[in-house]
Amino acid sequence: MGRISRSTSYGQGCSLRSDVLFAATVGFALMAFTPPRDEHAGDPGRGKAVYERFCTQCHGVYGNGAGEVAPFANPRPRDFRQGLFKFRSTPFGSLPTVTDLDRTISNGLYGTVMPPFYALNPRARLDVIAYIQTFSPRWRNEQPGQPITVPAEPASTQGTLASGRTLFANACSSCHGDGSGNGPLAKSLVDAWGNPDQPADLTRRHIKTGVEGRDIYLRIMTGLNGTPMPGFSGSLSPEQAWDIVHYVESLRGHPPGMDSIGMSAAPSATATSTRADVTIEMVGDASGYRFVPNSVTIRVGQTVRFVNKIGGPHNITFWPDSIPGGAQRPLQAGMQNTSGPLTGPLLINAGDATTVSFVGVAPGTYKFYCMPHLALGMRGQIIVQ
Amino acid sequence: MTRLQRLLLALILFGVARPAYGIPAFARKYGLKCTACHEAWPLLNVVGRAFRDNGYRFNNGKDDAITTDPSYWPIFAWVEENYQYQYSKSERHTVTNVGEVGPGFVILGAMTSLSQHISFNIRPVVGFGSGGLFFDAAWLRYNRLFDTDALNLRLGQLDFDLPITTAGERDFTTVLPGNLRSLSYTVPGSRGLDLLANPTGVEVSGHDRGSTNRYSLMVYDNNGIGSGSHQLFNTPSVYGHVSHLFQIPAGFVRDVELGAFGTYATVAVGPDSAALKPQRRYGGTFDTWLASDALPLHLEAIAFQGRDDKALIAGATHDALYDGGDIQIDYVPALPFELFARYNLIRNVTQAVPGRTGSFADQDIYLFGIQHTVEFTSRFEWGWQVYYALERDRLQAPDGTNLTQHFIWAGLLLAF
Repeated sequence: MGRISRSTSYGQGCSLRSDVLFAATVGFALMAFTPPRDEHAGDPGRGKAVYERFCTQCHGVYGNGAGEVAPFANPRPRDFRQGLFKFRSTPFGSLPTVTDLDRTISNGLYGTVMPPFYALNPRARLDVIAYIQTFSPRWRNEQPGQPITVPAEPASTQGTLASGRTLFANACSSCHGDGSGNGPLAKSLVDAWGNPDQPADLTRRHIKTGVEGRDIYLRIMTGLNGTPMPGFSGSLSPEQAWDIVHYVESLRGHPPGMDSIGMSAAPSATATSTRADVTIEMVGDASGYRFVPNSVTIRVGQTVRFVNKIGGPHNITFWPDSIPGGAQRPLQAGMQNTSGPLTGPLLINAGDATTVSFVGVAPGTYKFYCMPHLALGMRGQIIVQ
Repeated sequence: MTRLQRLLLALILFGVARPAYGIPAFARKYGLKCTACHEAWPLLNVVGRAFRDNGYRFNNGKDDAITTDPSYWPIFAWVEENYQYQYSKSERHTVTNVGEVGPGFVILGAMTSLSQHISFNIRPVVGFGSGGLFFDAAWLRYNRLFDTDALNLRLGQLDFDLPITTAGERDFTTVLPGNLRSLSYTVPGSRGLDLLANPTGVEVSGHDRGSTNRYSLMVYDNNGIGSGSHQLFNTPSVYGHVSHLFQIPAGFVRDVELGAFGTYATVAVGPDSAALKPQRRYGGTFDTWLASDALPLHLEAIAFQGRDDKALIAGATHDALYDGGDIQIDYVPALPFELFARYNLIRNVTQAVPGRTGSFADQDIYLFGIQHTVEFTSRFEWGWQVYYALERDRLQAPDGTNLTQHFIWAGLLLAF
């Protein structure tokens, strides 16, 4: 930079160098002397401004997923008020971690109107996550689930592919069909908000959250909350999940033409049954999805057996905020093979069953639902006297 | 007002001014409001800059022509009309006192990415006053050469990859007369080298994820500024810009970006335009965003040095050397509103022509403005802007004394 050696009649000797030095000094002084904060917490106040700038056009001012673009978006933007988040590392039914939400915000959701915001300062993403968490009371009453560990990916062999094909046929084909999302249930599926929910076309290279085997593994094990896609962490072993991952990866660009896959007659390895005082059947047929009966009355200490009669996969999840106070712990203890808070295992095949014991619980009404078919009205209640 | 004055005013207010709006076609394509990519329309935020650096793509599977709604067309329109008032005086008398409805313009342009590798921009401008037609920009971009963000190729009539607030598509205030920016300063008697104009050239650029590190290297033709020949690249010139963004993990300062830029331009001189003589501009930039990511106080400082070869200036015995720079503040207190202020200065270090006072043609410009985007949806936006500028030019009045100029500009803008 050249030397400025003279003053002007109106510039008062203003030096370019001194201007720049002043600006830089002020900037770095602010950086140096501002006390650090706990940035992992996020600030919902600042997050509100971030939300209003970047999110309202889809998710709406009130977080109800009803922004101006929502009618034209497929899939529809998330309604944050229920606290249901599809893409998590945590078990089916549970809340996601902040890291899960940050991953979705940073990377966006491929093939949807949700763009990536990785360019935003990480602090801004944490702030907006904190604000999103104000839309649902779940964030005040629950902790995020424990992330599911993704074990090291085993080698893919002909044997694991064959195993994956069989598992896929049993657990996935009713919705995903031959992998392209053309299963017999595909056109009838809706999500928790009543919107049509077409199963993913797995023959494409990219799923919404990535292209890696790890991404597919997590979607299989955690499921997609608020959709008919259940989490299989309670019903598949890690080895079985990887087998399905490898099979799904083999579908990319090579639709296998599985036209006539029949559901396996073998019962699920994880489903168990015990003697029960009351039995409730889980039914999905041309008349709809329902529990039969959908209301029973029992006494404290009795057990209720839930049986997948038809139209699975089904499961049972109790609303944490509509059971008597203090009952969550004994009820959780009385459930078998839970995959999340007050969330029973996924019953894949007809005949699969699970039992809930009401030993030590408080009298009252216990409302429950089937997570895959919540939007279809599959709910019920147990009155404990 | 004489015809000459009117012509000069028209040249200043339209000929030098250039459009600088958001692209509602992008909003329609992605279902986003302008605020997703602009700090304030049209100053880009970090999301918008990353989108731009990716070749106007989010890479979310919804960019390519085949994945967009068949009814979508990447067409956008800008319409602008304004009122301008200019009052200038020397130390002895009034030089100009003009106020009139300015010559606005309309643009019907096309800009989008067609596939992972191809993006384009065509921006014809029609002036309301003159009815003239010219292309503000027309380029084709090949994204991700060798499948890496570090290599992108762009060719055609391009904008320079300038410091943030001065880039043509990023700063609402570039609709101002170009001579209200230090980067547009012309040494008296020399050829203009306006970095806010869009020359013909080829650019290689690259960036990392989030555009924290980015570079642009451009070879362009400085033709058309007094050159006798109009063959392509008969005045080869180069421009470069590198920058690094620091995302601060805690505290009042949110982000800081440091950058360096420079150009070595040539001008053909002599009877047969055979000799090429250089003009140089080298400098650095400092940007910081304070207090908030969504509603930041954005401060930018630019400092540079300019040098024009003595062969470009009649009667010169030395190269003309000057320092320039500006400090600009953009603040968005609430989303529809933006306040902005800028101070520009030029200080001549070496006068090219003997006998000129050392401070001859020194310049100070103060500018204050407000912008209100009345409506901004994922389909269109419209708003208004008012600014006041005070310019002081040392010894530049017709009578040889100091020249003081006042500008008031008020405009309506619609982008669809």
